[in-house]
Amino acid sequence: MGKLFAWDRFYENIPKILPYLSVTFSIVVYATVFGVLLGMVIVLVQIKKIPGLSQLVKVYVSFMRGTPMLVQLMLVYYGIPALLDPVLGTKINREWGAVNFAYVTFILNQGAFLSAIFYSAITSIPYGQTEAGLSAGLTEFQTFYRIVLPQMVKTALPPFGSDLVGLFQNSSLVFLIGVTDIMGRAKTIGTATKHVLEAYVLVVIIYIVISLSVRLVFFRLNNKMNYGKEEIG
Amino acid sequence: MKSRMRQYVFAGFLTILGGVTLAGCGKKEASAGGGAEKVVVGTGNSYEPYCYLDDKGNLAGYEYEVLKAVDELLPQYEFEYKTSDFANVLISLDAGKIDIGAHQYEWNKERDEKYLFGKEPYTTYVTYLTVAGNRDDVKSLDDLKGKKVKSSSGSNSAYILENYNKDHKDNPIRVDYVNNSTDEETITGLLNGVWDATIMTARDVDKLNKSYEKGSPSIKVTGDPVQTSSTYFVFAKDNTKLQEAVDGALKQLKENGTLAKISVDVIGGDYTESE
Repeated sequence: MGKLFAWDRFYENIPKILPYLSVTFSIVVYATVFGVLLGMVIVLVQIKKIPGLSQLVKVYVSFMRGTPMLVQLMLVYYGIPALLDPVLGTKINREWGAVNFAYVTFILNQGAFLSAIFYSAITSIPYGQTEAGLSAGLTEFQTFYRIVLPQMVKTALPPFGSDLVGLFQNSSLVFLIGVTDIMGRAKTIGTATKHVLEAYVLVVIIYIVISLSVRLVFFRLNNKMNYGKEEIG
Repeated sequence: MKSRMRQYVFAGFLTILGGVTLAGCGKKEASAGGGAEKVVVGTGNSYEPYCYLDDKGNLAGYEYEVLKAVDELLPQYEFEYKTSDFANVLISLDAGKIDIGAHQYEWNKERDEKYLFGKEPYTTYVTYLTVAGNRDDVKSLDDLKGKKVKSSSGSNSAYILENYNKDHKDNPIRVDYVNNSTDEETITGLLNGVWDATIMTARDVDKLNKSYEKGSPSIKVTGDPVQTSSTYFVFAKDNTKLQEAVDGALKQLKENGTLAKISVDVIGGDYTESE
């Protein structure tokens, strides 16, 4: 059977696959933006120890962190409409495109992962500082916003970065529910042209470039946050 | 002053975000209206030439062309297409996400218990054991006892193999469920011995052999057909109204020769009545 890899096929694939980066990016952007919001809400519940809710949140976070992304994707895709449609009288089962379910899954998943990152960052700051702030006459919000938050961001940044790198790779799972992202497009090119290796290689290169750029950005950010301290590396 | 500024920026950002979300929801509701009843067709995205994505990433293939012709004959319906991988099409039908499953479905008892099959077949489907071109040791399922055969979950070939294994528990065929594989993986696996055989139609084997360079070792069908059947569209169990409408349209397409023409154009031969 012919050549397994040919450069002309590789170049032909570039314009076919690159437009689908927008799908990958939209998943990552939605998941990060709303995931951060959800993560903050979860952390708030945990720190305020709201009875009932904080136990629920604990179960939720451990479920999201302890089950495969693929299972969560299938559960949301088939399960959420089955749960919500009869109760709310909506028709999301039929009217939502697969990509919306992908957004929801990734937001729910990122919310849990980010909440764990935020929680550990907040608890790394000694409570004495909050007490000091409060006794100096700052409100609770002011204490958090001016004293805890700036330090917390510094601690949370490196794990947040590596989480983002992982998110890009995880987003390739959405093809299984029928969302065509760069990985899915590579696969369908393989079906249509009978040659899949060139498309896979291109996808690998795209993911490596993305991951290196994300890491570079976070490396820079990190050094910037090291006010006055020596730069790493 | 500066921190006040930051708060404003943050508030503005939240507002924009909320606006975008609301706008997104509004758009979806607006598109839901319209005159004809919406019918969602579920099909695959990696079975060339039946259902696959073309150069531009749009759905193409025999299933799509046939359904497009069917849709033209049925003014009361408006078809919309959803693609996913093969195993998920029937699950989507279960979940009510789609109304018609179109993925070269052969009739079998197990499927018939769960779904409503169309009465009007639209392609013949004669499957054979398929092996690497240099192998002569396989002629029937009996020759494959203890050997590895490639299949995919939810497919009719898996059903055939599982049924065979029920009667031959002592030395069953080892079924390897490979979902979502590409043709290249299939042919490479057969040639280098990952699998001893798989089950395919003769036209799929021809297609694969043609797609890779000539003169090199290829795959072939062997023995008598494993099963001779046809493919049908699949509906939800209680959806007789839609099934009858689609069957009626299919019948018309057969009588006026359109279906045969689509088959010749897309698959490369008339596979609508017999092989």
